[in-house]
Amino acid sequence: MSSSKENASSKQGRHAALTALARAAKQSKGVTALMIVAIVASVVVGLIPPLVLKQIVQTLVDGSLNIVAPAACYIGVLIASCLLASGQEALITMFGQKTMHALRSQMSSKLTRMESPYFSNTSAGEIASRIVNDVDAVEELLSSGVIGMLSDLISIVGILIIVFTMSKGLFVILLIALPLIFMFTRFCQKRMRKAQMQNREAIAMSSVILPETVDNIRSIRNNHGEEFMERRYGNSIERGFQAIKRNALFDSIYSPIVLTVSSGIIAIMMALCVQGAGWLTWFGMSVGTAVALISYVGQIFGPLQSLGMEIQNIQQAAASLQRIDEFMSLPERVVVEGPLGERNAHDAERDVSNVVQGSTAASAASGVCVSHIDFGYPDGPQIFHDFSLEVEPGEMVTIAGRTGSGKSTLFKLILGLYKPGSGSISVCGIDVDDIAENDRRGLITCVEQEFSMVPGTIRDQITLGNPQITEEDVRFSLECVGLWDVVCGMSRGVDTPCDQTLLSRGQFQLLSIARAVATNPKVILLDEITANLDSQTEKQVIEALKGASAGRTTISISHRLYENAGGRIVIIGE
Amino acid sequence: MGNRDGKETRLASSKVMASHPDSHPDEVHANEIHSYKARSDKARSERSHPDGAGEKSPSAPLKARGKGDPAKLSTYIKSEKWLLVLITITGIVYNAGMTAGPWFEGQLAQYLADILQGLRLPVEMVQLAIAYVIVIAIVQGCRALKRLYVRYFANNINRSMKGNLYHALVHETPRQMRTQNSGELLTKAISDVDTCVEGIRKFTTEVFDTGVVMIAYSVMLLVYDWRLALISMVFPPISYVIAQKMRKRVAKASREAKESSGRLSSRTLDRAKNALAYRIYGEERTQEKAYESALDDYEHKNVRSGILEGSMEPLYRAVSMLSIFFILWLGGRNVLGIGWTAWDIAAFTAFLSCFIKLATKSSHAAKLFNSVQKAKVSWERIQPLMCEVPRESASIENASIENASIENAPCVLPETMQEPQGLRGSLDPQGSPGSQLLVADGASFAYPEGPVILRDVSFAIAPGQIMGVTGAVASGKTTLGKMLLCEYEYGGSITFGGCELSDLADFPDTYPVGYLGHSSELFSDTIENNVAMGLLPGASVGGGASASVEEPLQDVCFDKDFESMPLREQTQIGDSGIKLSGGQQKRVAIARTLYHYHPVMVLDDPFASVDKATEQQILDNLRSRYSDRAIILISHRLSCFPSLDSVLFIENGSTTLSTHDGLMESNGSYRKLYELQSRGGDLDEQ
Repeated sequence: MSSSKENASSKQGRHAALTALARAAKQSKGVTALMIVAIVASVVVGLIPPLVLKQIVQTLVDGSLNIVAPAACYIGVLIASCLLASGQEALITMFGQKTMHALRSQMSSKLTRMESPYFSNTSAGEIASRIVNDVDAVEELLSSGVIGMLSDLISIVGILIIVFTMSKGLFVILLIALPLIFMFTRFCQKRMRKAQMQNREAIAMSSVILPETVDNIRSIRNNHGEEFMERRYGNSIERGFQAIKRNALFDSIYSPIVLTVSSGIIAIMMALCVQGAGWLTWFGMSVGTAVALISYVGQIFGPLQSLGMEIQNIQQAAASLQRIDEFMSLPERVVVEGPLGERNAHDAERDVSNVVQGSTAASAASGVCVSHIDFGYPDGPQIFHDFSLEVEPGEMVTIAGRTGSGKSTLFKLILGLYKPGSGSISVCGIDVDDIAENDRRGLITCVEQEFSMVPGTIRDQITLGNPQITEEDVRFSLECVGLWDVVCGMSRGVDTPCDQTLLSRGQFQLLSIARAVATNPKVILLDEITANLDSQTEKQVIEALKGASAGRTTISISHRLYENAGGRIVIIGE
Repeated sequence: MGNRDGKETRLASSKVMASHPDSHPDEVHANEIHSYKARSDKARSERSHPDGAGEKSPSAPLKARGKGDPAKLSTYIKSEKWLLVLITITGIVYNAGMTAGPWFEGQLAQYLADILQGLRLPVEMVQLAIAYVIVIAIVQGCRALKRLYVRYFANNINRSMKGNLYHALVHETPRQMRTQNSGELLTKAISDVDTCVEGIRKFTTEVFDTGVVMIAYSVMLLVYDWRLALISMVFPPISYVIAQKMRKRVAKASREAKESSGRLSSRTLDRAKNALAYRIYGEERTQEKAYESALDDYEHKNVRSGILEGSMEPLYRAVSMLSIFFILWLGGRNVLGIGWTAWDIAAFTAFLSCFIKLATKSSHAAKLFNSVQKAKVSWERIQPLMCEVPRESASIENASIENASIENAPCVLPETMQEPQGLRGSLDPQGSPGSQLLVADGASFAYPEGPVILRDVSFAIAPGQIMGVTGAVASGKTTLGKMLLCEYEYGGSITFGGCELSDLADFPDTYPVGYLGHSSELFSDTIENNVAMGLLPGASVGGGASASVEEPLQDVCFDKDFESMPLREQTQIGDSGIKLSGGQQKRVAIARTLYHYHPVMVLDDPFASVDKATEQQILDNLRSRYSDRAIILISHRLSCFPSLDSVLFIENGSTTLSTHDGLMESNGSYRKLYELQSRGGDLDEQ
C-alpha cells in the first residue's frame, strides 16, 4: 500500500509547479485569456509604427506634405501600444499572483499531509524558504521568464516577417547574425549562472547568521566572540560579492557587445545596398524603407536580449522549481477528515469504511491499547519488539526507563506521528491512524516537553486558532492550571499578545497544560512535563488535572507525577 | 586595533603584579584579576580567522568601515571616490555618445537619398558606415565599463554598511536586545541595506543614464530646431507631474504589499516551526484555513501594488508621446522648406528618434524618483542604528579599562579584608573568608519598574568550589544567574576580588563571569568553531589550560559521541545545532563555557537533557580539572547537590546559604524537595 502511495504522490509532485500553473489558468480563465490577447496585441501593435514612419518619410522625400493622416495614425498606434503594454503588465501581475497563490495553497495542504519525521529532520527556516522564496522565484520564472519569452518570440518572428517582405537582403543578414548573437548570449549566461548559484548560497548563509547572532548574543558577548562573528558574517558576504563580481563582468559586457553588433548590421546593410542597382533591389531599399529597417534592426535586438535574460531567469528559478517538486513528492501520511472536514481528491482514495468507523467510535471506551508493536527508526536500532500496553479508561500509567529506552518514541507512536512496523495502537477503540482531525483534540492530547509558542494572544496559545473552543473553555482551562488570575492581571487579559517575556518558563508549562485540557480530552499524555517544573508547581498541576477530569486516562513519563498521583508504573526497555 | 599601546601597558603592569615577592593573600586576587586580563588580552589578539578566508583577501571583509562617521551616507560614498570618478568619466562619454546613434542613423538615410539622386558616391556611404560602427563601439565600451564600476561601487557600499550594522549587532547587550528589540531592528536594517544600496546604485546609474543623456538629447533637439524642440518638450514634464501625483499611492500600495508579505512569511515560519504541535492537537486544517486567508490578502495587496508600479509607466509614456504628432507635422514642413528651419531627411529622422529616446528616458526618471524614495526611507531606518555604536567608542572603552581596573582595583581590595556584613548561615566549611573570589552581600534584584524578585542574597564562593542554587519554579533561580551577568542593575553589593560587579560590567572584555543559560546558543558551524568561537587553542590559558577544544569536549564526555562522527570536532552541527541531540547540544555549550576562561562560571540548568551518569562524570571533571574557577550550578535536579560545596536555596524571594546537609537539617522546604526527588530512586527522568 505504501509503495503505491509513494508513486501516486511522486507523480503528483513531479510537475507540481506546472500543475499549479494549469490550475491557476483554469481557475481564472478570463484573466488568462485576456493576458494572452493583450500580449499578442501589444506585440503586433508595437511592430506597426516603423511601417507608418516609412510612409511618412517616403511622402516627404517625394516632396509632398500630405502627412496629417499618417502622422495621426502614427501617434494613435503609439498610444495604443502604450495602453496595451499597460494592460499586459497588469494582467501578467494578476496571473502571476494567482499562480503563486495556487502553488502556496497546494504546499500548505501538503504540509498537513506531510509525514511527521519530515518536521523533525528539517529546519523550520528551510521549510519556510520552500514556500516563500522558491515560490517567489517560480513566479519570477512565469512572469519574467515564460510569459516574457512568449512575447519576445512573437516580436522576433513578427519583425522577421516584416523584414522578409520589405528587404530580402537584410533578412539574410539577420538570419546569419541572430543565431550567432544567440549563441553568444547563451555563452554569457552559462558563465553567469555559476556565479549566481554561489551568490545565492552566500546569501542563504548570511541570512542564517543574523537570527543566530540575535539568539546567541549572550554567549557571543560573554565569550568575546564578537570579532569572530563579524569575520564569519564578513566572509559570507564576501563570498557572495566575489560571485557577483564574476557575474557583473559578463552582465556588463553583454548588452554593449550586442548593440555594437546591431550597429554593424545596419552599417553593412547601408554600405552594401549602394553598391549597384542589383544590391539596391535585393535590399528593397528606398529612403523610407531604410528608416523603417534601421528602426526594426534596433527593435529586434531588444527582444533577443530579453530572451537571454528570460533564459537566465528560468535558469535561476529552475533550482527552485526542482526544490518545490521535491517538496511536493515527499511521502505523505493519510489525513482522516472528520464528517465535517473538507475532503480533497487525495482523501477520496482512502478506504471509506475508515470514515464511518472514525466518526462513530468516539463514544467507545476511553482507554489506550498498544498491541504487539515492532518499531525502530530508519537506520536506528530496534526500539520495540512485540511490545504491548493496555491502559484502562481513567487509569493513570507512568512509563519509566533509561534514556533511549523509547519513552518519547512510545508517545510519538500513540499520537500517530510514527507508524509501528507491525502491530496496532488504538485510542478509545479507534486505530490511531483513523482518528479524524476534527475528533482528535476531544480524544487525545499531549503536553509537550517544551512549550511551542504560536504567534498571537494568550487565547491563541490555548485555542491554536480553533474557533470551536469557546471563551468558557479558555477560562476553564486557565483556571484548571491556576493561571487564570495571572492572565487576568495582564493588561488585556486573554487578549494580551504573547511573547517570551510574558510568563516564566514554568508558567509556560502550565499554559501548555491548559492548551491540552481545553477540549476536555479523554486521554492525555504528559511528556516529562516535570523536566521544567519544580515539585511545588508540579503538585499544583497534578491537583488541577485531577480535579479537572476524574475519568481521564493519563499516560506520563514523569516519576514525580507517579509519586504524587500514584497509579501503575510500567518500565520499558529492560 | 587602535589600543595597541594600552595593551602593552596592561601586560606590563600585570607582570609587575605577578612577580611581586611574598604576595599578600589579597594581592593574589589582584594578580588573579590582572593576569586574567592579560590572558584575555592575549586571547583577543590571538583570535583566528574562521576557515582562513579572512586572510586570503587583503581587504579583509568589513574592514572598509572605520573612517568617517558611519551614520552619514556621504562617508560611504566618499570612501569609494575613485570608483565614482571612473563612473563619472565613462558615464559622461557613454551618455553624450548616445546622441551619436540617432545622428548617424539620420545621416545614413540622408546619404542613401543623396546617392539615389546622384549627389554622393557609394564609397562615402561605406566610410560613414565604418565611422558609425567605430563610434558606437567606443560609446558601448564606455557603457560596459560604467556598468561594471557602478556594480563594484554598490557592492562596496553594501558591504561596509552591512559590516557596520553587524558590528553594532554583535556589540548589543542581551538587555538591549530584549528591551529595545534592537536585535530585530538591526536584522531588519541589514535587509534594508539591500534596498538602500539598490537605490544608491540606481541613482548613480540614472544620474548618467537619465540625467546626462536627457541633457545631451535636449541639446541636440534644440540645435536642430529650438522652437519645435520647445513645443515637443511640453509633454514629457506633464507625464512627470502625473507620475509624481501617483507616487504617494504607489508608495502606500507597495508598503501594504510588503507588510502583507511579512505577515505571510511569519505565518509560514510558524506553520513549519509548530507543525508537530498543530498536528498533535489536530489543528492543522484550522491553520491551513488561516494560511489561506493570509494568501488571499497577499495576492490582493500584491496585485494592487504590482499594477500601480508596473502598468502606470506605459501610460506616462503615452502622455509624453503626444509630442510626436507635432514633430511629424512641423518637422515635415521643415523638410519641405516651409517650416521654421530648413531640414533634410537626416535631421527629420534624427530628431524623431532622439525625441522618442528622450521620452522613454523621462518615464524612467519617474522610476528613478521611486527608487531614490525607497532608498531614502530605508536609509532613515538604518541611520539611527548606525549611530548607536560609534566605531571610536570601542577603543575609548578599552583605553579606560586599565584606568579603572588597574588603578582603582588596589584601592578597592582592602575592603575584602573585612568580613562581609550580613552573611547568613555558615559559610562553606573548607574556605576561609579571605579566599573568597565572588562575594554577594545583601544583594537584591528587581526588573526595572517590576517587583523585587530577589532580596538579601548573600553568599561567597572561592576558586575550586561549586555552589548549587535551587528553588521553586519562577522563584528566581535564572534571575540570580542573570543578576551575576549584570544585565540589569542590582541592589546591595556583589564583589569579584573586591571589585563591584556593576563596575566591572562596564568593561565587557574582561568581565569575570562566564554564563551558560537555558538555551545552548549554538550556531551553524563546526563543533570546533562553536566551542572556540575564534579563540585559538592555548590562548585561553587559565589555571586549567585548554590546549585545544578537544580538552573541554573530553571533559563533557564527548569522546563517545565522536565515535559516530567521523569528522569529530569538524562536524557541522546545523542551524542552532539541530543535527545534535538535546544533550549533545548542551554539552557542546558547556565545553564552550569551559574553553573560554572566566574565573567565575554560572551554569543554569546545564544537565537538563543529560543523563545522570554523564552528569556525574562531568561534575567530577569540573572538580578535578577546573579547580581554578568558582562554579555556580543552578539546577532543579538535586541529585548531585549532596556533593557540592555549598547550596543556595531560594524561597519566596529570599535565600538561604548552607550546605546540603545543613539545609536538610534546617530547611523543611528543601528537605521536602530533595526527598521527593530521591524517592524516585533509580528512575531516570529523561
